[in-house]
Amino acid sequence: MGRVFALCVRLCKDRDMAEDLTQEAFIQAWRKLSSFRGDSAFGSWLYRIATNIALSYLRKQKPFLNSLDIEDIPEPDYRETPDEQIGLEQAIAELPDGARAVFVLYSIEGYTHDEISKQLGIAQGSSKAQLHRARQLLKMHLGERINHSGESNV
Amino acid sequence: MTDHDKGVTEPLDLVLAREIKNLDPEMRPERNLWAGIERQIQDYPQRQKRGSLNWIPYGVAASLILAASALLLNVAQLTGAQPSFVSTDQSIDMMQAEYVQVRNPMVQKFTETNKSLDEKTLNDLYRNLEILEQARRDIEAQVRQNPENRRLVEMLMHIHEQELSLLKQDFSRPGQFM
Repeated sequence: MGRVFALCVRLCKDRDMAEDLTQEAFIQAWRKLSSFRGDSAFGSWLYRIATNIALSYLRKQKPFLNSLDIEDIPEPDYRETPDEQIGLEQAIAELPDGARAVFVLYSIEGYTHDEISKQLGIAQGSSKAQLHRARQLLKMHLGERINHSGESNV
Repeated sequence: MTDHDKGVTEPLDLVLAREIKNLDPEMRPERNLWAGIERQIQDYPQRQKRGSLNWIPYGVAASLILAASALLLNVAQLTGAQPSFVSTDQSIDMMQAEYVQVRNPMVQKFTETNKSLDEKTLNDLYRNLEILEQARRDIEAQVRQNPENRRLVEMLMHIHEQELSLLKQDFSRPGQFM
């Protein structure tokens, strides 16, 4: 439950919605259980269902669809919270939707660009570009945090 | 972190890779989602093709999902719950003995009843039952390790009920189940 919920939170960043999606994942798993053939771990199978549900939800959100356009990625301003060193979890949540989804799927969940491109209906190149952008933004956040930490220690 | 992050060399890449690796794999929802899941599963129309033998995997599924889902729970997350509940190995043994006493004759009858099924269906059926039984045993082991955890005990009791209900239903009205 906790792992599925974490996946949903990271993908859709709304905890209330993530709870609904988690619930839906378990219900769908129950309904589809007869199709589970045991050729993968049950957890992996359930995880795939949860990923599909979360992405299906995201694909219905217009801002998410817009965010998949690599030309139009707004930059999050991590500097808005200089006094609060936000953790990586929060930094991921503040990524643009498309970049966040690709980052979560690739770097945390271990999907390939081929799988991600099919799941999101984008080109593999776009998936790679979104990942690159996400990593750049997260490194920017980390750099600021490290600098901020260094200044605080002076 | 996944293998995808291998090969990074820049300091910030390494920091990022380390932080990804350190991300908590689990988060805890605020709501009790199990209640909603269970309610919706119960409300789901349970009849499929009447008279078809395809009901068997679906039948086992009803119990299996509960057992297998339970295994995905983080036991560590559960261990702090309900400190007021006191259980002992003895009471667990009693619960198990009662369960086995009821279940074993049903399993015997189950085997006899299903002799006539085709091989593929039988294989599906027994494979699912094995998974279910293993899941139950795993939860029993968890209960023994955490005998004061009320949620685990309740989960085990619920799985017992589901399994018995399934076995009973299969015997009496196989053509009408699901």
